[in-house]
Parts: sequence; C-alpha cells; structure tokens
Amino acid sequence: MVAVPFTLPSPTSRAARLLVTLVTWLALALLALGGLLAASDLGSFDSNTTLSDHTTAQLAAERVLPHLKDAEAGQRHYLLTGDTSYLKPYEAARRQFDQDFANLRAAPSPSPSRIAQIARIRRLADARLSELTRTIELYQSGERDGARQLELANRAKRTMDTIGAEVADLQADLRNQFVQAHGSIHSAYTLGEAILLVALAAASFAATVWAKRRIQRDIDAKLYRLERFTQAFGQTQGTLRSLDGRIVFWGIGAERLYGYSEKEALGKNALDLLQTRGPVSLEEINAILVRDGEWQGELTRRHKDGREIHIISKWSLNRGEAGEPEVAIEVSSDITSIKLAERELHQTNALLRAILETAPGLIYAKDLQGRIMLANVSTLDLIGRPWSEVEGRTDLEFLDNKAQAQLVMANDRRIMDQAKTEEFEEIISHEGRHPRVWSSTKAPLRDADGKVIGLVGVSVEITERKRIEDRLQLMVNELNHRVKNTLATVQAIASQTLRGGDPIVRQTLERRLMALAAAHDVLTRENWEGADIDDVVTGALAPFGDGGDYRFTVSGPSLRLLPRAALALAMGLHELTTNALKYGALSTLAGQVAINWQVVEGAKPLLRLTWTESGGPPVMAPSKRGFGVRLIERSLAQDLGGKASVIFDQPAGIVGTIEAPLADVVVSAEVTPLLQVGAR
Amino acid sequence: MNDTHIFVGIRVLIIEDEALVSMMLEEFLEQIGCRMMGTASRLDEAIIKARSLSLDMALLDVNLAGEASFPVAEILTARDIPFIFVTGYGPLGLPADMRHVPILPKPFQMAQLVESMRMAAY
Repeated sequence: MVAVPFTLPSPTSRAARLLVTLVTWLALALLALGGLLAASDLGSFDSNTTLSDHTTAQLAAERVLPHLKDAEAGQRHYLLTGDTSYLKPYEAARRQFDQDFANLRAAPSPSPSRIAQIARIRRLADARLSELTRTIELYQSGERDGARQLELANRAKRTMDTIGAEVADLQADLRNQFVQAHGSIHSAYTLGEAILLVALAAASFAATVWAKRRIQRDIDAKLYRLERFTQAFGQTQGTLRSLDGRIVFWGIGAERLYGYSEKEALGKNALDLLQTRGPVSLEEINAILVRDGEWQGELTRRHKDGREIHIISKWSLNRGEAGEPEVAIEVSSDITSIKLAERELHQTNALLRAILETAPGLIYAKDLQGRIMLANVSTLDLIGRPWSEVEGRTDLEFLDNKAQAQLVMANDRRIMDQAKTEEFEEIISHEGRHPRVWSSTKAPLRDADGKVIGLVGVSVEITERKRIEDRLQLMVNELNHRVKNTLATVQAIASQTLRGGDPIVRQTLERRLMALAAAHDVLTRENWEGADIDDVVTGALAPFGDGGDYRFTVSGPSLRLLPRAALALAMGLHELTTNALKYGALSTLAGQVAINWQVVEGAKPLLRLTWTESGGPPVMAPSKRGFGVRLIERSLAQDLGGKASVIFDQPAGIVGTIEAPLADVVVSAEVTPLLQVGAR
Repeated sequence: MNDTHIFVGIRVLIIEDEALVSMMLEEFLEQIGCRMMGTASRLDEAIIKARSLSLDMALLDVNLAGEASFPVAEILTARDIPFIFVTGYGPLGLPADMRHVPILPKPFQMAQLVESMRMAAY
C-alpha cells in the first residue's frame, strides 16, 4: 500500500477563531467589571449569600441541557469513529451533572413543586445518561448492531425536549422568585449582577463553541485524511470487492489498468468482468484468502479493449470487528511488458539451446581470461568432462596437451585483442588417441556497449578431410614421379631403338618428349588443377630459348587453362617452334615469332591464339603435311574442342591459329583483360 | 657440349632402378668419355658400391624400387664424391640438407646431363 503524506490545513477559519477569542476575552473583562461593581454594592444587599445561591441555581438550570447535549455529542462521535477521546466530553458531562443538581437544590426557599420538578428533571436526565452509557457498553463489547438498535429504539429527541421544557419552566420559576425576593434592591444590584450574568453566559457560550469547534476540527481532519487516502488507494490500481465478488470500490488506477470506468465497474463481479485467470483455480485462491487473510500471485486478465494483460496481484481480506470477512482489498501492478519480454527471452533461449544441442560442431564461449562460459554437448564430449568440471576453466586446465592448450589460448587472445573474426586450424590431442584437427571460426563477443568481453567459437572437425587431402597429395606426387619415370623410360627405349639411326630423328623425338614433360611440370606445380597460359607458353618455348629469347614476342591476358588444354597447347607450340626452326622464321637469324592470345567476346566466348612468323625465308606449302602440322590441326583441335589451322602465307611467313570455346579450356571465367605478359 | 672433354676418363657410378634409363645414362656417359665403374638398382647394392668403389662422380636415382636413396647420398657426401640426383620429383622431394645437390629431372637430354654434371663437379 502506498503511503501518502497528509498535510492538514486548518479546518477553522481565522475569523471564527478570532471571534471565539474575542468572546472569551469579553467574558473575562465583563466578569472582572461585574465582580467590581457587585463588591461595591455589597452593603445594599440583605443577604448576599441568598443572592449568590440563587444566581448559582439559575446558572445550573441553564447548564443542564447543554451538558446533556455534550454527553450525547461525545457518545455519537465515539459510536461513529470508535475514537475513545470522544468519551471525555461525555464523562465530563456526567460529572458536571451532580454539581448542577446540587446547585439547583441549593436555591433559597424551594417550593415543594420545584423540588419535585428538579427531581423529575434529574430522573429524565439520568435515564438519558444511562441509555448513552448502555450504547457505549454495547459498542465496546463488540455488539455494534445492538448499540445501533438501542439508539434507534429510544426516543432521545422526545426525552431531550421534555427535559428542555422542564428546565425552561424551572428557570422561569427561579427568575420569578428572584424578582419577588429582591425587588427592593433590584436597582442596586442589577448592573453588577447583570454584567456578571452576561459574562458568565458569554464564557459558557465561548467554552461550548470552543469544544464544538475542536470536535468539528477533529472530524474534518479525519474525513480529509480518509478522502485523501481513498484517492491515493484508487491511484494504486487498488479495488475493493465484497465477499460475493462485486466491485465496491474502483479508482482511477483501476480504470487506467483495465479500461472500465467506475460506473461500468461498480457492482459487477470483478472476476467475470476482467475474465480473470490464475495459476490455480479461483476457488483455491479464495480458500487461501479466507484461510491466511491474504493471497499474492500472478493473474491474467482482459482489458476492456480485449487485449490480454498480466498482473501481479495482492489480495487481502478485511475483517469486521467480530472477525467476520467483510471486504477483499486488491492491489495489482501491470507486468504485461515484463511478461512479454520474459516470454521472448524464453523463446530466444530455447532457440539458442536447440541450435547449441543440434549443431554438429563444437560451439563455445569464453571470457576475457579464456574461461569457458558456454559449451555444447559436442564440446563437452571432446573435452571428456562434465559441464561442472569445465565451466569457468581454461583450456590449459582441461586439455591433456598443455602445448596445444597454450596455442589455442594464444589464438583466443589474438581474436579478443584485435577484435576480429578469424578462421584457422587447431589440433587437439588426447592421450591414447590420434590428434584431431579442427577448423575453428572465432569471433569477439561484445557486451551491449560494444566492448569485447570474450569470444564465441565454432569448430568443425576436419581430421578426416585433412587425412584424405594428405593422401591425395601423396598420390599426386607419386603419380607425377611415375609419369616422369615413364617418360624417361620411353625416351630410353626410343634412344636404344634409334641407335645408329638418323640423329635428327632421334633429337626430334627427344624434344617432343621433353615438351610433353615440360607441360607436365607446369601441371605438377599446380597440382593438376590448371596452369597459367603464360607458364604453358614460356614452358613450351624454353627448350628453344637458348640465345634466342629476343625472337619471341608473347602477349595475352592472364588465363588459367584446364590440364588437358595446357598439355595440348604445349605440344602444339612445340611443333610450331620445331617447324619454324627447320623451315620457318627461326631458320634464319633475323626471323621473329609473335605469339598472342585473346578472348573473343560473343554468345560463346572463344580463346584465340595466333602464331605469326615474320622475317623468315619465303615459305611454301609442303606437298605432304608433316606430323607436326597434323598434330596441330587434328589432335590439338580435338583436345581443345575447337579448330586449328596452319597457313603457309606467302611470302610473309607461317601463321598458325588456334580457336577454342573459352568455357572448354579455361578453369574459371575470370579474365584479367589487356595484361601484357613480358616479351621473351 | 663443346667442353665435354673435362669428363673424359672420370670414374662414374650409376644408381638407377629402371634398367632402360640406366642403359641410356650409360650410353650418354660413354659418349662423353666417362669410365663406367658400375651400376646398382637396389639400395643395399648401391650402399655397398658407394662405399667400396673408387669414384669421381655418381648419378643417383632418388627412388630405388620404393626406397629413398638418401643413405647412399650421405655416404657419397661423407666420401666427398660429387653426385647428381636423377629424379622425377622436383627439389621439394629432397630433404632440406640436400637441396643444394644438382638435380637431373627425368626425362632429360644429353645437354641437361652434362650441365648438371658440371654443376656437381665445381
């Protein structure tokens, strides 16, 4: 419940207070003046004692009714508020009564009828007083209804009226007697007596007004506090329900929370109106409420506009004086946004967990010190320890091989220091098992402010892939070795076979084998994945390069040839070179060869390579095409999936052209255009 | 090939498991006037000959029927006899401490043989 500081403004106005003060002072002044005058007149009185008794009796007669009314007012305030301080005026009035009646009876020369009248007044007053006493006693013993009924049943008003009439009668009687008895000295004491009477009346009036004002002020203050409290309670989204569930109090807070106005809500069943649903049945909640006096928990309700709202609610049972349940107080707070955020967080967590547990690789997070903050099942399997032995520990603590752990932690340190994602291989060995190779991707982990607070990593095992790659590499190496050895053997066979024959023939064969071997070399270096066209061309020309580099001009864009195309091109170039050396441009000192290739764009791009001889002797088409030309025109065209031609162009020199679909000869489409490869 | 006379009379051992290649090497070496001290095609045989024969130079196949011939290379190095690796592998197939040894890549021509022998001799 919310504490509201109450400030109590003065319930009585300044003017009213001033009036009461003035009357009081006036009464005091008159008392003094009256007393002075009365003293100066003393000598003229026959019997000042008689006079004084008479006056006292008259005053007492005046007081009876106000005292009884004071007692009544005290009792009513007490019944109304339960505040025992109101019993004080009631008790004071009771005490005053005895004095009042003593004073009445002390009036000089009482007639029998007056004595009877005083006794009557006393009886009536006593009867009224005991009624008051009875109601107070009933109230105090908890029987409020009894007190209320008694108060309703008695005829207070009539009793009071009767007393009033009797008292008025008695006062008239006293006044008459006084006039008759003291008529002779009337003029002598009238002034002092009158002033004294007025002063006493004024004082009495002032005292009564003062007391009433004080009571009124108390009531005002309490009502004011009650009103403020009610408002404050209403602000807190608090409501009150009768035990049958009807809403009896509905504040502005509740209206804001649920959308219903006070008019719409009052008298309705609270649980139905708000479609209340709880974690347990409402019957159970009510049972707890009655048993413990309060219940607290989360509820789901529906706003007037139909949207679901989540609240945390505290219900407490207010009991009557007799302990019977009277009203249920409910104070609620809207936690819809918290609930929704909670639900979202829960879903995100579930998703994260699902990813963590189903991903095939290792997933982990470490803090700045390299301590594990999160690890999935695969990670724990690799480490071979339960989460309890891994959480908060570093690789150095849970990995068998300390050198490897240090490497891993150095990698982690670098990721966090440079705040950059990296991918690399890591090797983890476990005692008695083969080392396992992992491809790890690690990224810095940042907090909401972007500060690096650790790292997250994913590692996928590539041990098997690495093993296959290594074996493949070994096989490729072995195969290359075999190919070279075989070529050497073929060369040896040819050499032996042609022993004693034409040395030119032997050399031609040898050179063709060498050209083949050179092309193989290029491919071997590239692991048979392809070869740069530039390397293939310069490799093919190399055996003829001695002292003749300046005779070749090589140009064309950088392209990667498929192995098959690389071998075919190397052999073709070898034949063209051989032919040029024998019959063409290279057979003279001044002859030149330009080798150029380019990509011819189109629907189906082509690679076109031209071999252009110049400065050589006049050429003439041979009567019979040799092996070299046939190799170029047939075999090369076939291997490249294109066409090739050798033109014996009179008189400039030989022009060879090779064309092939780019897609059939090149590894990928990436072409760096216009790259000039250095002239040889 | 004009100065092959420097090899006339030098004593050479051929270690090569491929008989035909071995014969071709012999023929090439005879052409330039070398004295053939012997051939070996297996590792154990090669080790014995490398240790015992008086030699001026050796041609050494890296792979002898599946066995690496490096033990032979060590003997020759210890005896301060120049030698050439004859191999289908590139220089990367050699141990780091033997990468300075001249290589005659297979297949080869006479000119390449002479060139690598010259590199080994100096």
